[in-house]
Amino acid sequence: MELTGPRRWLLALLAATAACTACGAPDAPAPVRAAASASSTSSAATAASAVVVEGDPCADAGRYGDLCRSVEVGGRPYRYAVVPGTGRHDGGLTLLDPGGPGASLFGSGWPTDALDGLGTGRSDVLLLEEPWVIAAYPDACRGAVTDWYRALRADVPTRPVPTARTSAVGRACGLWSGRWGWTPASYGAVLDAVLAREGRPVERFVGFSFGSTRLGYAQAAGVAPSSIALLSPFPTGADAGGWLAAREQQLAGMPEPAASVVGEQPASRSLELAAADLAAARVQLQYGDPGVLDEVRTRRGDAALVGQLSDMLFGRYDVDELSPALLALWDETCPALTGWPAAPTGDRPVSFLQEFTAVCGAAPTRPVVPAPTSPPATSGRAPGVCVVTSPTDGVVPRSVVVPWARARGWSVVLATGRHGDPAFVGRCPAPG
Amino acid sequence: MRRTMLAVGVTAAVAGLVAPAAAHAAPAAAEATRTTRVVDQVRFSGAQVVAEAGRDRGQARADAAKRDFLASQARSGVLWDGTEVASATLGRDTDVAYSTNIDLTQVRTALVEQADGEQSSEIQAVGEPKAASTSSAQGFRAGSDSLKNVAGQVNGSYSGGALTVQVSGDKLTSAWERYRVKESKTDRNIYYYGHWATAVGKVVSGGNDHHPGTIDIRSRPKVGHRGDFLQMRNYWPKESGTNCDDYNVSIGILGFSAGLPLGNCEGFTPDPNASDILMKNVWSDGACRDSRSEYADLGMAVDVRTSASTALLSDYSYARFEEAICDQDSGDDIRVIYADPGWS
Repeated sequence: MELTGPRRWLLALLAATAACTACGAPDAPAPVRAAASASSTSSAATAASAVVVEGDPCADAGRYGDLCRSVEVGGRPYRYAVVPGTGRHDGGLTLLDPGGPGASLFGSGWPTDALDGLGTGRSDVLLLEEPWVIAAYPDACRGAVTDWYRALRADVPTRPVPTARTSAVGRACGLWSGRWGWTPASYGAVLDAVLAREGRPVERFVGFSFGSTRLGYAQAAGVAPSSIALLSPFPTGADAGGWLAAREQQLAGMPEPAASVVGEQPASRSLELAAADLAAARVQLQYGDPGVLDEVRTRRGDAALVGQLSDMLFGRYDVDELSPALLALWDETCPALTGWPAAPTGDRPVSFLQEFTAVCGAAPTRPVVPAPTSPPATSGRAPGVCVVTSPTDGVVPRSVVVPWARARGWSVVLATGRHGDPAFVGRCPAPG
Repeated sequence: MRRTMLAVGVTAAVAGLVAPAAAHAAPAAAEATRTTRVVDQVRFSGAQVVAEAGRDRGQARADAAKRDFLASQARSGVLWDGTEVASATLGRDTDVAYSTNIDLTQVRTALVEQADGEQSSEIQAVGEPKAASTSSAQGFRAGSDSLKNVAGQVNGSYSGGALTVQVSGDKLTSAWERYRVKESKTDRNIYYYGHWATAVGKVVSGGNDHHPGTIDIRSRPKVGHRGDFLQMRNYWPKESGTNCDDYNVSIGILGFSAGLPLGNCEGFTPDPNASDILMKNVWSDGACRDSRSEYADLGMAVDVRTSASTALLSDYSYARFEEAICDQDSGDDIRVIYADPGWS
């Protein structure tokens, strides 16, 4: 299923679908200097110190193990990859961010198509793995997430999930501490450590979808690539209320599974389908490729298909366990938008999207995320950021991307393709 | 292979700790026989494993193996429902967890002592996909750690499965996947079939971690189904080394295209056998091992008669773990492993 640029399942980039009304608005959070102050780094690292890997952090990296490397920051290992380029191996690195949050770099999130999109003659490529993949998943946190999931399935769309259930997730799981997704500080500190180890700078940044937010982290840490490409970028700093409203509008155009599947229990699924599963399946379709949409149109009454789509959105496995990928999604996208509703609106039926993202509003405080900026001018060359989007992109609509980019002085290239199409890289001038 | 899409089965049999000579009964095992002896061996048929899995349900150790499998797969982006995974404990120190779309054939493990006193352990698995998909949810590929950037498949044709065998901290994971190629031929159906395995050695204090020395994976028609196959149209990888230096091998079968994520470019010995529709790939690190985890992969394109329900292949997976990073006797042992023991 194609989500953010590279093939990835699930929520990856839920936030990227944002159709915000305040993109590029003056009140968007100003860039902050997040780089690795000792205190912020160590506190983030302390919260994230528990990992599931034993010994060599790369031993469980599977088929990409040869490409896996690791650094230790604040007592916690972080994994990354340097993919050999097809051109020079002695120059600066290309920092490729395939999007997310919620992508398993050395598993289903390996960005083969994005790497291919960089074309021949590319320099060596640096990829950072999101922290959740090797983070320990404590019982208290896992239980809180499961309780929230059970409540949502039982209540939505009839009534909202009790606030206590929602807020318990943030408390039990330590959201916004760098345990699951990146914080600007943890990303900056780890990137610093990686670049120090590799002994090479980042000369090029290519970010698909949510990669635009990671560019802001990197810049705040003092990394200044001279060439930047943002492909189907997520509009960091946009208004969450506008995003929710725009997504509700988009949902109206999605195929609707037959309501008759509610109450059915597909083979090989531990749970019956609830009304919330239908809503979740439709949200998942917003990330779907055309093939998936066609499947749903022709199999509206297929309970197994509906369950599958819902499970992909939540990251459900076993019976009602949810993958920590969902925590990574909340961990990074909540701070990347502003103005999350603090409480349910009282509307009936309840909005699934609002309930799915209610953990963002339930948090007492969230860190401020720096938005990406233009690279510094270099002698004889005008700085610039290449932004590419598709006029038919349903994940981050053109109506969102264009004003967000123009507010930063960046022009936008419109290109035919899907959200995060790897071919978009070819629409940006080659560095050099 | 995600839970949502999963698939049909592969028969998986795992054998662990088997002395090379004893486990493979290789005809050219004279040197290995001279230098090794089996210290301990466990051999279970698929039926025995399934029976153990039924008895073990609710038992702490087997349940933990299942939870570990589910959680590990989820961290890779692969989601399985609990009803689609089973687990069993075999003897004192062997745990098996597997997707139930696999027909286990055999699990075998062995501990081998070499002439110099060094010990190595072996894990071996054989199995095959079940003949038919058991869930209508299968066939839909939403997330997988296998092929990338797939195009040109018949919608809903994806299927896949996985199993893990763990013996005293050494772990072999074997997985498979299958797509039906979209084409217009009327006398045959064409499939891509992939099989890969990872081996992770035990963590031992003092820098004495176990290291995989050999991984041997093979796929061929399930016994009794050779007649379903018309030909092996193509295979991957072609060779090790420079051809995979970008860690991605392009798969092309008529209109079907994908990238095979070849994560380990050195040490492979691909060995196709077109007449038997057999594809084998052996990874070896030679006499010295330098990593606690290693990996091997193979892919094949096969033509199948339209009368057959699918391309029904059987997988054999084998890994050998060494205590020592360098062992003067290991060369002999590795040659024995290359011998084809058959696995039905």
